[in-house]
Amino acid sequence: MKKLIRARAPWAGLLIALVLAGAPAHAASHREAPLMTLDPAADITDVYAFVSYDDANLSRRPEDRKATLILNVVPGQEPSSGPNYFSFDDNVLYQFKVDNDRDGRDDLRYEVRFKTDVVSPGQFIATLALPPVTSLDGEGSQGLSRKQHYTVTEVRSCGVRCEQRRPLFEGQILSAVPSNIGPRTMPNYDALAAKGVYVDGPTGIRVFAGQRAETFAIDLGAVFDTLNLRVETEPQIPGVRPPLPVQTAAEDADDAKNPFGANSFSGFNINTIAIEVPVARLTRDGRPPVSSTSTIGLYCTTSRQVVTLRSDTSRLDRTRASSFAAALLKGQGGWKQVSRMGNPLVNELITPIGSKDLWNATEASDEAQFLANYRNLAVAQALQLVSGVPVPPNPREDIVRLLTKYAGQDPDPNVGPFSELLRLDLTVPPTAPAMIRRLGPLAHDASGNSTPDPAGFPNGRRPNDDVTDIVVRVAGGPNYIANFVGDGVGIQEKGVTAEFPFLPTPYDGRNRQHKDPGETKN
Amino acid sequence: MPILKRFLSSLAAVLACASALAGVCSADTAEGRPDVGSPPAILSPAEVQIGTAERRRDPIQLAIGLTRRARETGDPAYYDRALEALDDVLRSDSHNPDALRVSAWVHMGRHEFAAARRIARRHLAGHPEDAVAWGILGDADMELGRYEEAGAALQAMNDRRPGPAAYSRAAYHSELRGDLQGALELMEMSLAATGPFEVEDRAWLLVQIGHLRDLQGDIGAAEATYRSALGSFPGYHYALAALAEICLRTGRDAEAAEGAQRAIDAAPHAERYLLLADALQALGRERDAAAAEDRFESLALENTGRADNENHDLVLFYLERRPDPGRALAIARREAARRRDVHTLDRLAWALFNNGRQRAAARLMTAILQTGTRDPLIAQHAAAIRAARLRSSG
Repeated sequence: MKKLIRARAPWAGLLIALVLAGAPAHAASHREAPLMTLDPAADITDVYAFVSYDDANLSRRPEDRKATLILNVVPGQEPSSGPNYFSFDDNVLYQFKVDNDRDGRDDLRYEVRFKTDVVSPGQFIATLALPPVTSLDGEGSQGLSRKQHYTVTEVRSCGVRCEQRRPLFEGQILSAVPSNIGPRTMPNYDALAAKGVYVDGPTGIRVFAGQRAETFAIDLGAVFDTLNLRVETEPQIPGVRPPLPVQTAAEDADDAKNPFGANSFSGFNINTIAIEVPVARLTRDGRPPVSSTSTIGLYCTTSRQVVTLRSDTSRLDRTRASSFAAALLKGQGGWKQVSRMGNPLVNELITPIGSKDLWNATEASDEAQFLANYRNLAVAQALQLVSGVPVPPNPREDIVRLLTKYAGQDPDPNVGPFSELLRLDLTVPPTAPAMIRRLGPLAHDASGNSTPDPAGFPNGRRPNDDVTDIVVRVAGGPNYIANFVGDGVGIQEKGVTAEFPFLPTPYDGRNRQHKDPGETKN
Repeated sequence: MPILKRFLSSLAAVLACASALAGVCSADTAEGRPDVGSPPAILSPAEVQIGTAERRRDPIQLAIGLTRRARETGDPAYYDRALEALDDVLRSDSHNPDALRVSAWVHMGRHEFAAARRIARRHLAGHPEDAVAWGILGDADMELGRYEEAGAALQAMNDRRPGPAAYSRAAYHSELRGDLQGALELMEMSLAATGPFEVEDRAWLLVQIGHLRDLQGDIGAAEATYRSALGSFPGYHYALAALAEICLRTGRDAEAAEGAQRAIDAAPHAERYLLLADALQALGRERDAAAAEDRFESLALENTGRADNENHDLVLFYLERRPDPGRALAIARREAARRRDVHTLDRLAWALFNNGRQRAAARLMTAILQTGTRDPLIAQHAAAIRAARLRSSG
């Protein structure tokens, strides 16, 4: 047998090699590129905004306080996911957008861009601890085969089509903190991560970018199984069918344990960008906040570069191919916003599946087009359907006002502006870590007496606020508030972190564990 | 034990990478040594998705999981199951947008390009903002050779939702137009945007990156990239086949034969028997090589009338391995009636040329090259046709 029997062609001997070189993955017949691929580096999981509650800030005068803004991406990180660990994306623009004049449009932005340096291109594994990693750069960082660096830019609006851009940290390239691989690779991860906290002297701004433990706690499986929440207590409401997840007042008041739910994010990590800004830098007049300037609105976005393909090629011939190739323009389509977040769970519980891409691509100030989703609050209807307990009737103008308007704005449901923002009153004093209550303004004691913590969601949002329970109760209305309805998951086992960036040390890859209620393994 | 297995696989990938750098082509499977190429010992993302969808009785997610699993395994039976799940939805709601969109994707997987295109267009008429549907339409147009329309559809996808799926499609478009470096950059952008959990997606992208590096002449980088793909998704059949091809081209015939056999074991795509045949032939095992070719011919003939076929390879088979030019031309014409992509038209041009139809072959090849493609096989055919024309005119 001969591979190539047509010897008349002098080029035939090369044929097999060429066939093989041109035929990966069924290329000549059909190439099936991944389609339903998630985009974790651009997927915003949570946004937080709060007046910092570390000791230093608690002791500052109100006008000198600082506020922390946090953007989380890359959800559901299994800490032991070697050899491919978790990174930000060089092709994503990460932005914090602040509205400080109550018109719903951003007046101040913080932009973060990353650049990945592959130190050891031939090294397959992301990190190999030879020697152990004790530094983000230079001596002690040789074990990192890939390093991520970033820049932070403050962009301040100065009128129509006017922006003042100010590179922070004197334009310095900052180091992102890598994933917590394990104690042999990173013997003192806390010390390593502390090296990733930078202070900009002239402005007093602090920043951190890197891995942290996930603090958002929710019984995700139960919530998205048509609100099939777990409950071990007897129904408190006569005639309820099937029983609502009702907690006792004492259970609900206990911020030290989860009464019955399973925290789906136990033991998982996320990637965090945290920026702490003096409050006077966030107000519209650059002065310490007073009642007329005290409330800001925040939303965060991620944007990706649009690729431009040129398609007018019908008359191309072989000799023009190279010029055509040069005309394929990459990255010249500008940025396309692909994810946004202000308040928690709006995209998940309010925005219908078919509208999610559009919602994510829309600026917060254009929320008016989505108001029908707020008014016809599907999650509330689902609560009523599964529990039989009435919820407030539609249209839910209370939800529209809560999520899209500032306090004091015209309550007329036909009058805007409507903007979906996480609103924070900068003059509300921070609550000390030991006193933080996960239910914020809905907090109560073991007897059910109100003990509100006004520094929590929906006045901004802190990493340990129990937004699931708050949202379920607000959506369900008075019956649900009075009966302490929730998913039975209120806390993350690492508790409150009292220092910037206010999110806990990430679980390390070697010793990670995921705990359900009652599990005591260490 | 699955965790241990996974660790060993990862460790093996590291070791394999080091071997690749040293120019060794062994994906060692000897007893007691880690097995880079063994099937995944833990559930793949698609398997997890299938399990979750079955528990939740979610036919849409089930169909997506089954379609992803089809690509992971190369087993088309998963497509059939996916369509069954979608039919249940469409029977009660024939306009269900999610079901239509996924249905178009499944038809793409089954190589039913015209059907995929029709369904995607129908869906997009009511949902023009659906970036995924634009991607499916672009895929279908690419495979059908409607490159202008494909470019527009993929642009629409990129405009609506730039990200890993859009970047990889833009890369394919760039490669087809001859911009290998641009394609490589876009494919790497796609890889960077694809999360670590998406092990099969990452492996697929790595295979494509390896292919592009190979086309650029960097065979060492290509081989290392294929090994990285195996590290991401152990036992990945596309990577095994690509690695075996490199081994064959670099004279590591025994390892090529072993790799080809393992790729066949992982996913018995017919054309891989040709790779195996070449490796066996190089080893002097002519009878085994002939048997492998027989197996290819048998499978390819079995599939030749189906949408998912090996007609591109079958045409070449009847032109170069077991000459029957008339039969090759008939197959090439039948396939070209179904799709007009550059690869299909190239096989037709080559079959015409080998049947003495030099002028028709030259005309067709001119049209093919107008796309800008730098596919090496097409370039070789074009050179031969041009040389013959020059000889006849001189």
